[in-house]
Amino acid sequence: MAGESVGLDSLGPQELAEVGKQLEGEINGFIQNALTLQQTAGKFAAAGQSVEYLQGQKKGQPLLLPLTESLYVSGTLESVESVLLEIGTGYFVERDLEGGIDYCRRKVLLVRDKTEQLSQLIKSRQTALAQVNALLEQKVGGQAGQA
Amino acid sequence: MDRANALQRELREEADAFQAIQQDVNKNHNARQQFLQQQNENEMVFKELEISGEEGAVYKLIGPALVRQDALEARANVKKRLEFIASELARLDSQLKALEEKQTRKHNQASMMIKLQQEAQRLQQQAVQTA
Repeated sequence: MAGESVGLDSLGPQELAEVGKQLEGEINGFIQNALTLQQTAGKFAAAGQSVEYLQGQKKGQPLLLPLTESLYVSGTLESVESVLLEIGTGYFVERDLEGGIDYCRRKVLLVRDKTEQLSQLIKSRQTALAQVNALLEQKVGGQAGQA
Repeated sequence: MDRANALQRELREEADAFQAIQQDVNKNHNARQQFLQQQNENEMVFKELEISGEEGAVYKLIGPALVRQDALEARANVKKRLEFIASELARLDSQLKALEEKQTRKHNQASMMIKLQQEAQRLQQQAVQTA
């Protein structure tokens, strides 16, 4: 990818337009990914808040569990000491509440970090796209002048 | 004229071979992407398993059921999986290198043949003009 800007001058208008299109496609894909990452960060934050909320509860606390959006069944809190974390590839680990909160916090930080990296990437692609478009305009304008 | 036809056919065959290589390169890329993803996820799992250490039960989702696993065994399994992924990635790397070499070779061959064809066309035209 680094060699792209080196050869840009030697490309014809049609090829430049193609490169521009490709860049645009990439940028759109990345923006979609960034959105997904943001949603993921939100989910982890919400999960962390739920565990924090559990900290203030006592064992045997009655509650209503949602089976569907409008159907609830009654139950009681069986354990307020540990949570089961899904850590990927089908593995689950039992942790205490602090561990669960810590896990969610670390995940939020990780996802935010990746989002930041991705937005840098988007920015660099956008400058590349602007470069390509400027060069394209220059070339097309030059041709029109000659003709 | 026969010579020109033969050249054209050869050129087409070369182009087909080149395309086949390109397809292989694409396949290689897809496989690599998948393995990289798996590597990422497994590394995350391994880190989490290390954090929880010996205490804290480990379960694995087998079908719809969560089955209790030995913590040490789970860690060993994930590690084995990571090793397998690393070896697969290394294999794909060497495969890609070989494919790329083949590709540049084919590319050089093709451009040489195009030159030959152009030369043949020029000679033909010359022959027609002089005749």
